[in-house]
Amino acid sequence: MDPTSRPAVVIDNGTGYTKMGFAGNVEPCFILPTVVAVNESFLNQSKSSSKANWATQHNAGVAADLDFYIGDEALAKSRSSSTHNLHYPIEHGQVEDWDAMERYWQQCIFNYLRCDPEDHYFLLTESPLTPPESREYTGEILFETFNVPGLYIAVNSVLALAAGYTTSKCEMTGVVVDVGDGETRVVPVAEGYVIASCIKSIPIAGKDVTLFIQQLMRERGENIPPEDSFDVARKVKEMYCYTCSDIVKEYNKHDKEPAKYIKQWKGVKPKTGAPYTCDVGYERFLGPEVFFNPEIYSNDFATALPVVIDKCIQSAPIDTRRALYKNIVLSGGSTMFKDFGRRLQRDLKKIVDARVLANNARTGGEITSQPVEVNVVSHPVQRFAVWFGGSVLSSTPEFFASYRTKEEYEECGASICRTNPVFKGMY
Amino acid sequence: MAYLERASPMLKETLLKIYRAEKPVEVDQHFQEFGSIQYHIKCSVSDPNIVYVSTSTLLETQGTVTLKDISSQSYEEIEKIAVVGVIDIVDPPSLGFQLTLGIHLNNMPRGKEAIKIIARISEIQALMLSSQLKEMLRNLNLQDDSRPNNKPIRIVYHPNEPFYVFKQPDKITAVFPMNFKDNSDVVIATSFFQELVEVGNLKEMGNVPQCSWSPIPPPQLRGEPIQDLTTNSGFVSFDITSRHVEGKRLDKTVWNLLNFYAYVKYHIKCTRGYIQRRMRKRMDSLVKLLYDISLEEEKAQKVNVRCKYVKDLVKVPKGKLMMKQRCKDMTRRVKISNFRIKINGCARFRFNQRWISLTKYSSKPTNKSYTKLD
Repeated sequence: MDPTSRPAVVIDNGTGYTKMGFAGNVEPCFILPTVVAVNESFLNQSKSSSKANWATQHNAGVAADLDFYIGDEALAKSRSSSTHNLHYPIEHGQVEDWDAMERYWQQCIFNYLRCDPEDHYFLLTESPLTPPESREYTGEILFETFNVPGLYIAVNSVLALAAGYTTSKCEMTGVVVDVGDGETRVVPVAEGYVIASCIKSIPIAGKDVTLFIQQLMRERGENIPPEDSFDVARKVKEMYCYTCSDIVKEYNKHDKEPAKYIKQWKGVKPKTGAPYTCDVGYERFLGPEVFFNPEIYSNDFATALPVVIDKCIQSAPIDTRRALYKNIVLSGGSTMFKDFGRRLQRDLKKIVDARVLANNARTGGEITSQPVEVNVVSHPVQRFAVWFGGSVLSSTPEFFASYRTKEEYEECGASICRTNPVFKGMY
Repeated sequence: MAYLERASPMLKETLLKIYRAEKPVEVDQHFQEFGSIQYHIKCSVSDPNIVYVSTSTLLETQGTVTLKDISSQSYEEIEKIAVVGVIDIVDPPSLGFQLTLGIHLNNMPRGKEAIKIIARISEIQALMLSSQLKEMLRNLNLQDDSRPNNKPIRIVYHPNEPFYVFKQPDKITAVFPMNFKDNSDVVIATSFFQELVEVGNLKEMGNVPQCSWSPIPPPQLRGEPIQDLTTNSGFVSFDITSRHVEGKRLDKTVWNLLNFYAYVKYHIKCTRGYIQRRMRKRMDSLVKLLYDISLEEEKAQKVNVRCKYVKDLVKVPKGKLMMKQRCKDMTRRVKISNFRIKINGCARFRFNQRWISLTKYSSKPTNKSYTKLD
């Protein structure tokens, strides 16, 4: 059996979480935090010890090389023992630590997916702002160390757009609002090509929402054990938060009918095992509100998400703007709040309509333009929209032709990985 | 090592997820392991209590065991996994698969027992594959020594990777012809085998199977097809005594034999990764020296330092978060100044890329916003 008859392996490496699995599936097999715990107790050995000692130390150092963990196991291991240090290979969407990244891939492929890398084609993702050298390093690692037969490095925003395909419409033009764990990015894509000069980013993302909820709960004096408070805040965020349409009205609703809106969170104290409960009240709607009114969370940043999206589209080439407004796609775990898409669409439409009205008034009502259609698309696989897009793309048989193969790598060297042809074969 | 565990991590993870979910989830996943084992898990919202797990493999053997049929012994062992009512063997199996199990979630006992059952279900492939080889080894062990010629039995676990098992007076030998596509793989593998033989035959190793390596096929394999006997990395053989095939050890022995090829490939890939890491580290230290020198030379001019080495110069003790934040800001600013200069040179590459307009940005932003370059 050759690699084209087997499903490709799709790995989406993000700053916070990595999603991996086989093509053709709706959701990834594993979603793990992108963290490596390495045993570094043998790293800095002095060479002045005697010969025999050096040999055993060297062997121990080599054995410790394979002693590392990734994902949730890494977090657990580093908490329990002091020999393992945590490394985060990806920061702000870029790979910073190639050693850790290589180890991460090694464990992903062998311990989690349990496949031989020589049997499958690989599809990896990258942020639109990665330098080409980074793509080259990735290709080098995968072809040299793992001997993969073929590799394709896709831009994650284009894949997120591909996730929104239905049988009737396959739009390669749109704005991808990617709200992940580390950073929020607004990326316009036209005909499958990213308009890199218009990418805007916001420093508020999933982690900040969790921190905010943690802060609110602490200020109110809820009795949550401090070492668990971040985890509890994250779970509360995922289970109970929703997006409201107006803060003031929401406060009133909560105050009038507390029984309906305030939820209980039950947990178990880790040290004593005693159960405890705490109330979840205003955090439910204040958490996601951070995106629309950032001043409640931090003083450095005060531009709301709809305003940033609008600015981004306005800075894009003028002939693409209508198409961009029509297809705003959400991706990333933090867009899963209930009604997030609707609130975003409503706010954005307000801004756009106000501008159109002002334009018309300026010309004295003689020249009117067609109303701009604003459409925010949300679909159930938002949490791993990028992975899903990769899975969909790599399960089409024509896609195998766009991979960079090992033969090409050996012929031309690592520089072939700098370009990856945009795949438009969905039509 | 988790790579060679009997339980399949993906199967376990998906089953645990379905079991722990508070409301019914829709799952329809296909995945592959080791290139030849396929699984299909299906759980639909309309019938949330039953999970269908189908599996198939390409194992072929010659000799006394029929190919692709699952022996009744495996069926018995599968039924032993849990109390009656939890696991059903669905007949006929789903299209394209050898075995389909229906797992009734509502009949599963609560708590730790359920986790154990799920772990054992994840081992079904290991069970199926090993059962054929186990039967064979058991039969071979009990065979009369006086039989003059024992034809070697050919087992194909992974396509294109057969191995042979034949009986000699008081031991069973398993021979693995090793083939690699890549030349560096051949070198690494051959040195690994020779070391394995050395280490394995030490007295301290106790009762481990005798291991030997030879570049030519052993005489018992004379009659086999020639393409199986042409290798570029020799033949590894293990001598298994009857001690290794009794009782619980039989399981382990069989699983180890079946996965020998996978283990060797894993070892080779890890070795390559290790070599690459050391090379990278060495290169980094050499380049750092160069930049340290050029840093001294350029002190008069505007300092143009590579970001990575500034990080090294500003060593941050662990736990000092404030210092780290300040250093991060500083390195970010240095990166900005660095990339400004870099981008002019890279304009040529940019044209080949998919940017529509010539970039006017810096990849590492300060204050997390994009600055326009002038």
